[in-house]
Amino acid sequence: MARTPMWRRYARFLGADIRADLNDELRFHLDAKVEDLIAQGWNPEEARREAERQFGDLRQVIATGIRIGKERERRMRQRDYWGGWIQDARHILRGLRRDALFTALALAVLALGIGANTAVFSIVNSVLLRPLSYAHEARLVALEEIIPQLTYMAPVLPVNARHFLEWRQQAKTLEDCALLDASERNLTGAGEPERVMGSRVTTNLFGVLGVKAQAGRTFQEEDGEEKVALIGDSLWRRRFGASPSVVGSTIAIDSIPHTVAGILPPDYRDPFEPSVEIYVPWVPRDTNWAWAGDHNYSAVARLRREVAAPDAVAELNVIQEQIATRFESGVGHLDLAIRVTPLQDHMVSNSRIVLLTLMGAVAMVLLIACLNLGNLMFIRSLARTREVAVRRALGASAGRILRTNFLEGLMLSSAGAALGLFFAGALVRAFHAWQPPGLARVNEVSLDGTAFGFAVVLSVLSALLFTAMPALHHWRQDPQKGLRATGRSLTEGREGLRSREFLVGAEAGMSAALLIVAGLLVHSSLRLAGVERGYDATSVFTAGASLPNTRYPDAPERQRFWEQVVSALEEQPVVIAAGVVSKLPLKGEASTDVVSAEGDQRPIAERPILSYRAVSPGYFQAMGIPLVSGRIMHSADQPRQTAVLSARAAERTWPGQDPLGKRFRRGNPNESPYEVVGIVGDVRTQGLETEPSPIVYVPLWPRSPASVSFALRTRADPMQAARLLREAVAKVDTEVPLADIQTMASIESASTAKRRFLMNLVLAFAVAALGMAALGIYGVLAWSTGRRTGEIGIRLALGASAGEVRAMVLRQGMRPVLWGLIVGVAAAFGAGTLLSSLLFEVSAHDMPTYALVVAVTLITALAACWIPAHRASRIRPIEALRYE
Amino acid sequence: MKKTPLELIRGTLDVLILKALVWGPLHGYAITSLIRRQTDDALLVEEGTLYPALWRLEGKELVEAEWGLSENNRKAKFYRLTPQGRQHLHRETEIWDAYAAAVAKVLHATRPPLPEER
Repeated sequence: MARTPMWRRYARFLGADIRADLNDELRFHLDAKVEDLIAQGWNPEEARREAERQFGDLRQVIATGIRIGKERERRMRQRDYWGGWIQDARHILRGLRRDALFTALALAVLALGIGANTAVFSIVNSVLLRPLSYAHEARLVALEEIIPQLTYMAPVLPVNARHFLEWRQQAKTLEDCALLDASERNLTGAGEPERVMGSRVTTNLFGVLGVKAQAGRTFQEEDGEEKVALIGDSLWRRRFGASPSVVGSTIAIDSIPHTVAGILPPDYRDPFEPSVEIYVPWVPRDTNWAWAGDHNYSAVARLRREVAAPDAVAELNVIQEQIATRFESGVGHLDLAIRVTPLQDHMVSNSRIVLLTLMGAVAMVLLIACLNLGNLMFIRSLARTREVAVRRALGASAGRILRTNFLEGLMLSSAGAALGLFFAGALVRAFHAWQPPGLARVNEVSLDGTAFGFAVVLSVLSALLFTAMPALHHWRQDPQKGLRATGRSLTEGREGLRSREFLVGAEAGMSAALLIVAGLLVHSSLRLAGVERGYDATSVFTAGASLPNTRYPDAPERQRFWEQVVSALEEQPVVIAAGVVSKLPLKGEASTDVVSAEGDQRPIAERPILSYRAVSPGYFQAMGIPLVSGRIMHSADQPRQTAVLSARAAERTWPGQDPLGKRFRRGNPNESPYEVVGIVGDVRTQGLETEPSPIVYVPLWPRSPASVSFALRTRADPMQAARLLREAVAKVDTEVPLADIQTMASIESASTAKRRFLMNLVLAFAVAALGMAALGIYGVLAWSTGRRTGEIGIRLALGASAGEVRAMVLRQGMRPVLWGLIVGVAAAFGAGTLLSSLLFEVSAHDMPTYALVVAVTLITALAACWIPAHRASRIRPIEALRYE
Repeated sequence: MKKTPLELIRGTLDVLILKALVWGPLHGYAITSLIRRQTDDALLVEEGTLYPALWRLEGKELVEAEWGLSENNRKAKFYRLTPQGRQHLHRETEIWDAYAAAVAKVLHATRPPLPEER
């Protein structure tokens, strides 16, 4: 066989032509056979006919041949195609290894960016998006009551038990509804006495939620008010060592023995009070409950399958109206309405905006990082201009070049995402350990398949984003220019100018916007820290205690107990003051009741409803609450009922008058009236952010609370203080446990923890964003002035001064920054209203913050631009022009 | 003179082609010619079966094809054995030998086999 002739090789370029090949091959065979026949003595025509006859059915053969040939071609094309990808990938890997520094930087940035975003997303997903772990969760709703006349105190009220019974009986749109009442209980027996959060619930609760016990059973209707209990998984593990024999055993709740009927599953959480660990059954009977007041319970309901929420609202509102007319005769006219919220919304609503803000912030950080990376890749790709031009000249399509570009980006971002997932896992673990308070469903946060998918999507998007710049450049580039041998001309530097300016402007704008948000949050926190609390938290220690009903059934016994503990504390020389209070400041509302001033003829419904606190006389000094006028009540006042009002309470009850000496009654008309003997300063009750509520301080008689908090002002250190408290309580009764020993200061910081959590994170992201933007601005400007060395040299040679050159470079750098700032500030301005719920006493358009952020961004950008500008001014024209 | 051509079993054509190529690359016509001559005109391979077999062998990468010029300067497609083809040929030859020997034992037996031992 001779070597393949040249013409045949070139024909390959025209692409395989299977049919022609087949024809050629078979024709050759035919001709060869004819020649043989002729050689054997046949004459040419007959030879040809005989040859064709012997050949048989050509068509069939050709068809088979075409089929086989096409298959082969297809397989070869596939191999070429994938081979092309693999070839590209290997080439890219080599290039990345060469630019190890760039690769390391890119991987680090991507890992951090994608990892942080994935972590925040998995938090958002677990808390906001993932459905609750109850069955039928889409139909579960939380019920709350609204009394329009009382919205000054509370826009929504908890549920009244009598109203609940009415709904359960009458509402057809509800499949079932359950009532819950959470309160702290003492757990004794089998270990240290412990204070746990318990809840009494109607027996149908777990049916409504669709929850099954992991061991034993949940409540049934027959349980009625039997002494049975359900315990939560974490309590089971913590106190009973996850021993299966707990089911059926006896535990003492508030000194009353209960049998454990079952253990709740590990992923179960109480829908209203996440810290509840024990449930006891409850049967609210109609006759026991008042029609008005006493809004102290939570209710959850399941809608019927075909029913939409608005229908339920309509029906329940009708029932509410009927109820309102029922108690009008006794109490006066009050409107009653219902609020129905999907249970998931109810649980997470206050976390929603926090989490979404975080997502936005961290996404912006990634965006800036990708833009910076894009710029780096663009610079890198410029170095390969000639290589790309050669490839294009040799026939690579523009699509192939883009594909290679994108593949590089994808490889980087996937590797970065893989690393980032580890980082995200660590962040989620840290989040669990930290347990930021006030965020719902914290324990459900985990990195799951959705988060993984999110990371994949993010890596593809970032790859697209940061390969866009070099890709566009290569796309628009004329291959001729790239091939030209001269390399750099003296006035180069314009490629991708617009993209770079956009990059600088976008980064400046985004970091400014993020800084503004951070600044507003910081300003809010500062305002909050400086707010007038009404008490003095220095050196104040607190602890909680509650007395079991079995051993302290009467009020006088409880009063004696508290007073004895307080005296025991006051005996200590290191104690400055000690007292008890039914609920500490910042811990929310406690019991509210009517204040019926003597001589007030209005119907009960129109009389003020205020917060009541039962206190011992030493409380005010212990808490540092100032006395404004009159005196504090004293145990010597007994049996007279003397009370102290906060300034606002006095103003609300007797506006414009002097309240000292006036008398009032509580809601219970059978109780004797109280006499006001003093006015004290207002104290914030709900949290530092809410205005102080009006409070009526009543003494420990005639009603003495079963559970109180101690307030201790002492010079001792925390360990000593804790010991003092425990010993004082133990001295009176060793079986009463003390719980929650903490300083008032830590209660304060816990109440602001959620705000500080958000502020710290957003601030961190904003600073990171600003830093990266500064690096990006510096990088872009430094590089572009580097390319313009020749041009600058010419300018200098033609008489421009160093200062003029510097100014020119600065102008070039700062112009896009200014544009970006304008857009960023405008965007923050527009988005301000969305964030106003996060701010405290700070307007979303707070001028000082905006001004400060603009200044900081400008200065940072200026500093970033200064170095290249300065270097440009120092260029020596001779060297620049010689640089060829 | 034409002898009655024997019917070829499909698999044997493949191995005959492979063996034919052992002596060097050949085009399709030369392969049939070689087989005809080597079997003393006993096996006449038809074009309709030869080329599909050749193409399938090419697909399985037991032979590879290349265009070239024949002895009289005509464009022809030459086939050549690949290393895998060579291995395949050796394996198939062994199998064929074993098969043929077994068949021959039965066909050329002069007496029936002894009964099997229990």
